[in-house]
Amino acid sequence: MSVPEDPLVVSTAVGKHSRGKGLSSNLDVKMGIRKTKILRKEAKIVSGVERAARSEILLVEDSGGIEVDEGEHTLQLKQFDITKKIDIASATKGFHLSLDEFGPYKLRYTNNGRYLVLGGRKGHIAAFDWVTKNLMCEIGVRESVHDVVWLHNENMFAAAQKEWTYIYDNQGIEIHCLKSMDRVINLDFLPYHFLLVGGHQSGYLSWVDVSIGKIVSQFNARSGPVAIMTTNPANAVVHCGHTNGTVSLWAPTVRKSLASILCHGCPLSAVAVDNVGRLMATSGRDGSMRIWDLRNSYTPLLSVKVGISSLLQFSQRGLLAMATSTDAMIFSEVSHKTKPYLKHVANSQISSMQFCPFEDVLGVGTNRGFDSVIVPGAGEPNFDALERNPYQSKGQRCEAEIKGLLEKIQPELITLDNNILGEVDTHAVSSSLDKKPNYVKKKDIQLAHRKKRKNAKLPKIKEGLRTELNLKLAKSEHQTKKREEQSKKTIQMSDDDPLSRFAKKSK
Amino acid sequence: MSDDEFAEDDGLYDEDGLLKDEGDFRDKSNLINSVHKIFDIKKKGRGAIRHEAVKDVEEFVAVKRRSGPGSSLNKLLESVKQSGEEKTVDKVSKLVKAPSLKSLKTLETPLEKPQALKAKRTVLYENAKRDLSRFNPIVYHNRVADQLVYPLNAGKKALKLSSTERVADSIPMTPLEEEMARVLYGEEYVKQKKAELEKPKGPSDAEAYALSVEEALNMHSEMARLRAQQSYKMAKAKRQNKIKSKKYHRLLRKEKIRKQLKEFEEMQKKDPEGAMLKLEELNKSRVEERMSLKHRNTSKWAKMHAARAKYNKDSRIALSEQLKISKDLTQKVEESDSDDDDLECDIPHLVKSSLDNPWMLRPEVRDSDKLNVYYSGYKKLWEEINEKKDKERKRQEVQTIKNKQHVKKLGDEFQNDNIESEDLLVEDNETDKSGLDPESSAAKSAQERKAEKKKKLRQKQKNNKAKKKIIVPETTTSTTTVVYDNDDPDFTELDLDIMIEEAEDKIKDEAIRKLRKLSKVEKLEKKKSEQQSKRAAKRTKNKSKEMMRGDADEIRDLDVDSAEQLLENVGGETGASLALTSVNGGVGRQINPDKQDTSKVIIDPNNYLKITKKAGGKKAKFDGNGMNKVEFDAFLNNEAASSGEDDDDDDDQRKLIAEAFEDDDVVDEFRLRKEEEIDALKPKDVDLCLPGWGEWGGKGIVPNPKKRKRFLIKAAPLPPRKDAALSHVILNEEVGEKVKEHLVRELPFPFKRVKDYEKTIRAPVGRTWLPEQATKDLVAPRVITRLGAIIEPLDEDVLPKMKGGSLKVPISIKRLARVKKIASK
Repeated sequence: MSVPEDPLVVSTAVGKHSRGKGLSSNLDVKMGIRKTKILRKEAKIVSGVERAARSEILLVEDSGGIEVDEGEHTLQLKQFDITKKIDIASATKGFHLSLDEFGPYKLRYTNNGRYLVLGGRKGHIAAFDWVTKNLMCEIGVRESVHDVVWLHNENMFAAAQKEWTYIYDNQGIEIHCLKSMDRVINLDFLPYHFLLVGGHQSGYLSWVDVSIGKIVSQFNARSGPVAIMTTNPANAVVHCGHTNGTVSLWAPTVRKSLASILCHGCPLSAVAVDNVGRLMATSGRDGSMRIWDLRNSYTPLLSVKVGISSLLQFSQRGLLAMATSTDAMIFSEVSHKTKPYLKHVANSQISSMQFCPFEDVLGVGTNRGFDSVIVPGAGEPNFDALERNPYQSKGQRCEAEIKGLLEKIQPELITLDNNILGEVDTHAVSSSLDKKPNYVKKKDIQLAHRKKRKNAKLPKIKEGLRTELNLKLAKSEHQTKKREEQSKKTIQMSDDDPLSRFAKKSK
Repeated sequence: MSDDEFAEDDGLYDEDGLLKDEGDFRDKSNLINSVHKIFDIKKKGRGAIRHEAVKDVEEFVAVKRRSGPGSSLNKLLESVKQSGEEKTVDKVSKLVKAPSLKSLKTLETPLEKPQALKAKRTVLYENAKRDLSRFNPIVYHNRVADQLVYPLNAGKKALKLSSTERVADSIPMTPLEEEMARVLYGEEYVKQKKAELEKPKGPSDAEAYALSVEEALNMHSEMARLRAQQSYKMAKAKRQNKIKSKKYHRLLRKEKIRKQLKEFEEMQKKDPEGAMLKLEELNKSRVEERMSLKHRNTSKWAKMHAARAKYNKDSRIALSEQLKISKDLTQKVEESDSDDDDLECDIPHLVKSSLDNPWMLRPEVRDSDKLNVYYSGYKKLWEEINEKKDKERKRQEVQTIKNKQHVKKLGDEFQNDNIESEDLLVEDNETDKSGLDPESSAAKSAQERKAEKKKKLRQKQKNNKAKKKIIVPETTTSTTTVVYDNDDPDFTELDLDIMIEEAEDKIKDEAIRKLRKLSKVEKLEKKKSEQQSKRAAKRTKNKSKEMMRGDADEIRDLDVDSAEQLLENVGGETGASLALTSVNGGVGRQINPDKQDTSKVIIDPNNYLKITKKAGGKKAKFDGNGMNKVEFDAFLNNEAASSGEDDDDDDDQRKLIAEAFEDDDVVDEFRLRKEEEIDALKPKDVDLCLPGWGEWGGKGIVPNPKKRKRFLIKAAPLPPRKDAALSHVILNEEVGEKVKEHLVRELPFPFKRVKDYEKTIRAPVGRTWLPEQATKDLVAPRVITRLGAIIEPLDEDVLPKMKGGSLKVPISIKRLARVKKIASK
C-alpha cells in the first residue's frame, strides 16, 4: 500500500510541531524486543508530529493586513481610513467610549476575547460584551481602582482597589474580598494554574489559587513597589521591571528571583512578553526600547530609541504596541527588523492597552475613556474551540471550566524551563547509586553525554578494578570483623566472666 | 518407558536379531546347554528331537537349529573341501552369506543407569526444544506487536488499517470520491489509481510472491551470506579506521595520491577536457580546505612563530595579527537589504544591537587566566598599534570630512531635489553643530565618523534608487500638503570600505553636478523658513512645557501622524496645544504653521536619525577597539547622561532624567550583586590546620605554609554557572526542590542512558497537543480481549505448513541429530 507523499504537509509546520531530536536506532538497550518496542513508539511520535502538521490545512482563516498603494505607507492611515475600507461588521469593532469622569481606565479582555472589563481609577468598574456592547454590570466602588482582571472565564473578575482586592461576578456582585492582597497595584491571572497574581505597593508579590481560595505564595521581592509587572504566557513566570534597570523573573515556589536581567542603564518604564514566550520587550526612561531573546541567552536582539513608552503589549501574532503619552505606536515583525505599522492617537494620556485575542483590535484605555482600535493582522485568525472559544455557549463554558480545573497545573511547576518535567533528576539517580554498598556491583548508567576518550575502555577498566578492590576490601573487612569478634569472645571469657576461673584451662 | 524399550527405540541393539535374543537367556544352565548345542558337533547331529509330547516345549529348540547355520555350514563346507568338490563349495559359500564368527562382536556394556538417564534427558530436552523453537518467530511477533486482539484468529493477525490508510487504499470510483482524493493527495494520485483500475489484473500479490519452501530457504541462505559478507566488510573498515599509526595513514594517503595521479595522467591522454575539469575541481577543493578554520595556525610559519612566541615579542604580534586577519576574513558578512521595491520604511534608527549592546561582550573566561598572563604583554603592544592606526585614520577622516563639508555647503543651496534633500537636512544640523565647536567634532572617535559616513552613504544610495515623493492632499480645510518622503534606509553595515568609497565618489560627483544648477535664491528662502520653524518650535515648547512635562521627548519622536495631526489641529481648534507640542522635536523638518496656505511640510521618518547616529557611533566604538568591560560600563553609565546631550537643544526633559539618574551606578551595582551571588554559592575550603601543633605556637608565629597547605581540604569546584558568559544576567542556579519531586528519580529498566529515556518521554500524548488519531495510536491498549471469548494457547495450527516432504533439512536440525548420536554412545 502506498500513501502518497503528503503534498499538504509543509516542512515548516513539521518543524513547528516537532518535539526535538528523537531516538536513534543505536540506543543502548539490551533486549531486542524492548528495543523494537521503544523504536516503534518513537515512530509513532514522529507520525503524530506529521499528523499535527498535516492538520494545519484545517486552519483556513488568513490573518488580516493592510495593502497600501505604491508610495503610501500604513503609518499614514488612520482609523477613519481603515474603517472606510473594511466590512461593516468589522468596522463596528472600532469605537470610542467617552468616559470623562472616572479617570484613567484599566482594561482587560477575557481569554477568548469576547468580554471586556474596564476599571476607572476613580472607582468605576464596567464589564460588557464588547462586540454586541451588551452591558453585564456597571458599578461604582467608591474607592480607587488600580487594576482589573478577568479570572478563568467571564463569570468572575478581580479588581485591585485602594485597600484590598475584590472578586466580583458578572452581575457586579462582590463575591470575595481578598484581604491578604492589600494595596495591590498590578494584577494578572494565570489561566492554566488558576492563579491570581498581585504586585503590591509594598513590594510584595502574591499568588492566590482561586480554585481553592488559598494563598500559594506571598513574599517580598525587595525592590520597591511592583509598578511594572507582566506574566510570561508560555511559562507563567512573572516579570517585574525595576528602577535599577533590571527585569526580575519570579515563580511562586522560589523565593529568590529565577533570573534578573540588566536591561537598561536607567529605570524601566514598561515590560512585555510575547505570546509564545520568545521575546521580551523592555523600555527604559532613557527613551530606548529593547527586544530580548528569552529562550536562549537573554541576548538583546534590538535596541531602539523611541521615546519613553509607558506601556508595551504584544499581540497574538506578534505585533508590538507601544504607548507614549497619547500615542499608541504599533510595530510589526518584531525582532531584528522591526517596522512601524500603525499609529493611533488617543484624545488623552493612555493608561492601559491590550490586544484583543482572536480579533484585530487593540483596546486602549485612556484618561478620558476607552478606544477600540482596529489593527489588521493583530489577532490569531484560527482558534481552537476546545481551548479558547470566542463563540462559547453556556454548556461549553461549564465544560471548559471543569476541564480546566481537572487539568490545573500545580504552582510548583512554574519554572523558567518548561521542559523540566521531561527530564530525569540525575542528581537523585547518582545519589541513589552512591548509596548502594561497595560490594554490590553498580549499574552502568550514563547520566550525561560522555566525552570521547582516547582509550574508550579506560573508564570501564577503572570501574572494574574499583569494584574488584571494593569486593576484596569488603571481604577482608568481614574476615577481620569475624576474627575480632572471636578474639573478643575469648578475651571476654578470660577476663570479664567471673566464672571463667572455673573453666577448664586448655593446655 | 523401560530400559529395553528405550534401547529398542533408539536402535541400540537392533543390528543383529540374534544378538538381540541374548537378553532372553535367563537360565545359566540353559546358556551352557545352548552353547554346547552350537559348538558340539557330536551333539549337533542329534538335534533336538521331541521324544514325547510335553507340556512345556522348549522354545530354544527351533532357535538352536536356526541359530548356528554359519558355524555348521562352515563345518559342512570344510567337509566338502576335504572331498575335493571346490566348485560346489564356492557356490554354497556364495549362497550362504552368513555372518562369520569374526563379525560376531561382543556387546558393549550397557550404560550405567544414571548416565543412561542423563542421555535420555538430554535427548528429550533437545527434542522439546526443537519442537518449541518452531514457535519462536510467532512469540517474538506477538511480544513486539503494538496490539494483540484475543482470541488470535488462528495465527492470522487481524489487519488493522487506520482510516487514512483505508482511504488511501481504496480506489476513488465516484466523482465525489475522485474530488476528495484530488484534494487529499493531489492529481497525480488520482491518475495513478485510475490507471490501476484500468490495468488488467495480473497475478495477485499472494501469487506473485508465492515461494516454495525450498526457494524461501534458498533466499534465506543467500541473504544470510550477503549479510555475513557485509559484516566482514564493516568490521574490516572499522578496524582500518581505528588504526592510529601515522605512518600507516601517510602510506595510505600516498598510495591514494599516486593512484589518483595515475588516473589523472591516463585521463589527460584520453579526455583532456575532463582532465581540465578535474583539475579545477581539485583546485577548488584545495581552496575550500585552505579556507576552513583548520589551517589558521598550522602552517610552518605559524608553528615556528608559536614556538618562538614565548620569548619573542615580534612573533607574538605577528601571530596575533595573522589571527586577526583570519578573523576578519572569516567574519560573516551581514546581509544587506537593498530591496529597491521595498516600500515599507524601516525605522531608520534601528540598530543591530548585538554590536550595539555592550552586554554581548563576554567576560573573560577564568580558565584562560594563564593565557591572559601569557598574552598580556603583547596586548599592550597591540593597543599601541591600534592607537597609532586610529590616529592615522582620524587624520584621513578629518580630511575627507573637510571635503565633505564643502559638498555640504553646496548642498545647502538646494531644496527641492529629493535625492539629496533629506541627507542635506541632516547634514545641516551637523554642520551647524560642528560650526559651534569644531574641535569637539574633530575629537569624535574616528570609527564613529566612519559609521556615520556609511549611513549617510547608504541613505544616499537608497534615495538615488527610490525617487519617491508622495503628495497626500489633506482632507482638512487647510491647503497644506504633506510631502512624505518615503525611503527605506537600512543600517546594516558592510565592512567593505572600498565599495562604499567608490559609491561615495559617484554620489559626490552627481551631487556637485546637480548643485551647480541650483540658484542661490532658493537657499535664502530655505534659510528663512528654517528660522521660522525654529522660532515656532520654541514658542510651542514654552507653552507645552507645563502641560506635557514627561512627554516632551516622546513627542519629539512623532513623525508622520503627529504632523498630520498638527495639520488637522491647525484646521480645527481642538487640541491645539497638543499639536503645538508635537512640533517641538522636529529638527529635520520644516513646519511652518504661519504659512498655512502654501507651505509644504516635509516629514522625514528619518528624524530619529540623530539617535541612530549616536547609536551607530557607539557601535563603531564597540566594533573598533573591542571595548573591554570597563569601557562598556562607562558607556552604560554615560548612557543616560549622553542621551540628554543630543543635538536637540530643546530636550530638557531628557537631560533632566539623565541628571536624576546620573548618580545611580546601575551597572556596577548589578555586577556587585552578581559577584555576591557567586561567592555565596561557592563551596568553602576546609582548613584543618592546628597552629601550634607539633611546632612552636604563640603570638606572632606564622604557621608553616607547607603544613597549612597539607591540611587544607579544597572544595570541589562547582560546575560552570549558566550565566558565566552573560554579564548582564543573574540566573538562579537552584531549581526549586518542589519541582524535583515531580521528576523521574530512577532510570527505568531497559535504559542505560538518561538521554535515551528522556527522549522517550519528550513528546506529549494528549489530545491537547496532537490530532485525535495520533493520540489514539499512542495510547492504544496492548491487549484487547473479546468479552466471553475463550483464549486458547498457541498450538500447531499457528505454524506455517510445509509442503510435502521435500523440505530441505535446516542445518540446525542436522546438528541436532548428530548430537543425539553422540549422546547415545
